[in-house]
Amino acid sequence: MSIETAKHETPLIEARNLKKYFKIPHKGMLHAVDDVSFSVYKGETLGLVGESGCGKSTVGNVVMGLHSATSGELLFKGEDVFKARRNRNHELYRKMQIVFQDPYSSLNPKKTIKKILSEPFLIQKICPKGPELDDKISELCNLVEIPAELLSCYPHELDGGMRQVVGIARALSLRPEFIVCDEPVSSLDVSVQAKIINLLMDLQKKLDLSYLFVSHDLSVVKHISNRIAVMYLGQIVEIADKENIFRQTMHPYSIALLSAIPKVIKDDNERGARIVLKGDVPSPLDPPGTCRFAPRCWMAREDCYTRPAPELKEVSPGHCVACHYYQISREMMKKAETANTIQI
Amino acid sequence: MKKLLLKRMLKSAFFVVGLLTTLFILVMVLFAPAITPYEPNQNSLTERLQPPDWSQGFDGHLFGTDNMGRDLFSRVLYGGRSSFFIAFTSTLLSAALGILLGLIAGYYGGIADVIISRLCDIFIAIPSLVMGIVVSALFGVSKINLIGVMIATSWIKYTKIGRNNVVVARSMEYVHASKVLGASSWRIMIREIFPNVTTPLLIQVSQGIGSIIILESTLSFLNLGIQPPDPSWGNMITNGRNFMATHPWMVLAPGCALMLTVMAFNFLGDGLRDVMDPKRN
Amino acid sequence: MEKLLEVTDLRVQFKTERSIVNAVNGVNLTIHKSESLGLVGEAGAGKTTTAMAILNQLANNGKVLSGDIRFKGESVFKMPKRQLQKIRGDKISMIFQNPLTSLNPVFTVGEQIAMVLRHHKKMSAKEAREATKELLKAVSIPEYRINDYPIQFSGGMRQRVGIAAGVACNPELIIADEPTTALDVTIQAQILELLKKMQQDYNTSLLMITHNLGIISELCERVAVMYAGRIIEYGTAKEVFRSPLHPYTQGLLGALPTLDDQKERLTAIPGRVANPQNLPDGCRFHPRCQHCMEQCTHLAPIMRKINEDHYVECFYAEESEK
Repeated sequence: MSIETAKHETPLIEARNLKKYFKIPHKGMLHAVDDVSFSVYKGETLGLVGESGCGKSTVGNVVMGLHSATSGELLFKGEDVFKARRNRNHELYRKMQIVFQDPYSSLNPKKTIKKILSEPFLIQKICPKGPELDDKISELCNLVEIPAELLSCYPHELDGGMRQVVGIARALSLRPEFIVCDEPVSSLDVSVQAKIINLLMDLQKKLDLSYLFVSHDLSVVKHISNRIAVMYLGQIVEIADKENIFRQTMHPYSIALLSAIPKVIKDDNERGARIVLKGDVPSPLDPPGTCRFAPRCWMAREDCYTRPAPELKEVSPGHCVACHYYQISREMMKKAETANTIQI
Repeated sequence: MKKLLLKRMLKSAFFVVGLLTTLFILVMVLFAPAITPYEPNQNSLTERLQPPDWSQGFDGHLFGTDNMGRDLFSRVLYGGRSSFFIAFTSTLLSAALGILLGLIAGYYGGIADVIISRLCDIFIAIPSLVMGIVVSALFGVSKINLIGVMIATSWIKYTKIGRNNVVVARSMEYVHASKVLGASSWRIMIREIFPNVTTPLLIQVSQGIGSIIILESTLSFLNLGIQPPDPSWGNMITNGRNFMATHPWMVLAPGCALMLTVMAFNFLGDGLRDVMDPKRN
Repeated sequence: MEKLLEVTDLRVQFKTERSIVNAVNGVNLTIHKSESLGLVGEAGAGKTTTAMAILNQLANNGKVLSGDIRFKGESVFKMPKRQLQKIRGDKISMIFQNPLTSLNPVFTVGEQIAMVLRHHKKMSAKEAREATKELLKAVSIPEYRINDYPIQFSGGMRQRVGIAAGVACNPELIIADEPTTALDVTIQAQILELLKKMQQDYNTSLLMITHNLGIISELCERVAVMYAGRIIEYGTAKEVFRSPLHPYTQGLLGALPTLDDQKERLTAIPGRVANPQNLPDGCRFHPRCQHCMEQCTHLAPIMRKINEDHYVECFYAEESEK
């Protein structure tokens, strides 16, 4: 049963207790994704945000079948996705797609753009090469505004932004309902980033798409998402709709994450003191059974190190947090800011 | 892109010299019947041990004759034909076999990779000459066996090219994209990965032909390759050895042809690498 | 205020196999003592090239066509090599983007910092080691790690080592080239706070190169916006960000999603970033500018003072300020 009760309709995508562990020889078990559950509803974007090692990209890869899950379930409109994949059910290939991060390795350098965009139709045997295929490709190009002249070009002749547009076109070719966007704008310049974000949002409205938007950039995630999940060391520590994540942040990690982002200051006194976390972003190798954030937590108490890890609980409608002391976190935050504590 | 390639080609001395020489040799060898009026195995007691004669143009014995009165120029050209036939066939077959094994080892990994990589290690440890001798001793001497030996010695380097490129390509996102679109492993290997292997493959092929020609000549020199009376540069050198002091042209003609050919292919190989490999700086 | 660094009409060109790249096309910059200047722009704007030129460390195929860079009144291009080497690391130091490649993997962290001290300050081995321990403390790296190799540190810690080496000789100017771009957000915050502290404690001037406007806003008093090898807007950070005058700066600010307000739609600056191999005539930005006027297509604007804190190079901006 999903822990989120924000809406009462059936979610399009439902992930239940996903786990992905990697065995590292001589080192131990890497808990890349450790019991992650979430839902994505039709026409909405769930932002998945966190730093390196939190497992957000692995979640995307498991959802798309690029990694097989160690355990857990994934449902698409109620259907078991992992089972369908084992049975090579093609319907799912058309319904779920992915846009990758790196515009330089996401397109085969030896193929023209036209060839790249033809592949999905040929693989899925939707139509053979010929005028019908050409029509479908033109339609696709019009949808994302790729000028027709670029069809005969090779990827290296296009700039990063345009390559990403081609990657998006490729993902849309089979008319999916759900798209995982894995850091799609992280490698792009600021002005190009805006173009891609606008494109993704326009397409979402036009085609009623649902996105799982994975990124380390909170500002971008805030702009495009309806709901946001914050991940730390393989687990979701907080999940809420956009407004609440920013106005009513409860988990101390989310608070620190927000505080860390450099802001463009336009007026004096706009910037409060920053809460800086101690130490480095750890690796999810053989994590303890207690709270994983405690060692770096700015408001950790004695018992945070001994009590079993906090579970993700719904604390207000649609807002879930995994922290023993979430009730006082906002109060503590204000104290820390006024005391101007800077810990490095 | 094509213009850049052309510019690079013209700038590379290796490439230009290698290409022109190779083409020249290939043309000479291919059109042998039209160029020389003599048959390679045509004995002539009256024409024995003639020195090179350039006064009559192509009608004369340009490289002289050997101890059986056979025209050396025509033997060099026809010998070249055999060498090239063997070199090209074995290269093609070893490349095909090698790349296929390399793609499988790289893409599937696991037990396939272990088996194929260990096979590579075994074969690489056997000197080609020893292999040639053993095969001839066991299976007799013939063109087919010769090609077999060539393939056995050269497939390894193509496997390595295939495998290494696949391992790199496997982590590329365009391969993930194809997987997610529902492509089968074979389709990915052939349509996505293989086109990225062609450049290093081409370079390796042109560099490999030179060594295969030398191997074939060496085996023929030892009488384990092309059998007399059919000419091969190797067995011509063996034959001419006894006459080196008095009639050096019998060794010089095939020797120089061999040297020139191998040099030309090596230059072409180096030149191609300069032209196609973008990491030149 | 004393002028520390003065760049006058700098023009730098690179020759590649394919073409000629006009990376820097007439840059004028001044940094005073204890001042922090942010150099902001997207990829290809010429920021790193300018930084490399300051240390006279351009790549082999780079050439300074014209212009001058003066450090404390002396031209870096005319200085004898020994003098330049003395300045590098001692008076001007640099912090790079990738701490993994800017630290030598075969020397311990302690050795590398000590090397800098012994070379420039002529310290003995013992003195250098003591000084190194103090520096590591200042950047919050535990003392016992002095004998560890760079590979044993995380990205954030390596960058801190880089900063320690950078401030070791108490330089007058630190050039930081995208020092936090490769780091996670919370680690970036640590480094930014550290840089702020270093600035206060050591009173150094800082040239901060980045494409992140938020970082500039926090660290720098002044900002220079670069596009196609030229500085197109310059002034105090507060003033420039509060009322950007150049359409490019406006576009950059509009393209950034912010945490505070919710923009309906981000401004996507149309077209592609100007190609330094094929720059447009007139104002370099005109093909992408929604306020492009007739003169912009063939005349290049020059930098004009709008007020004490704000300079801009744009015909449209001049018009609207009148």
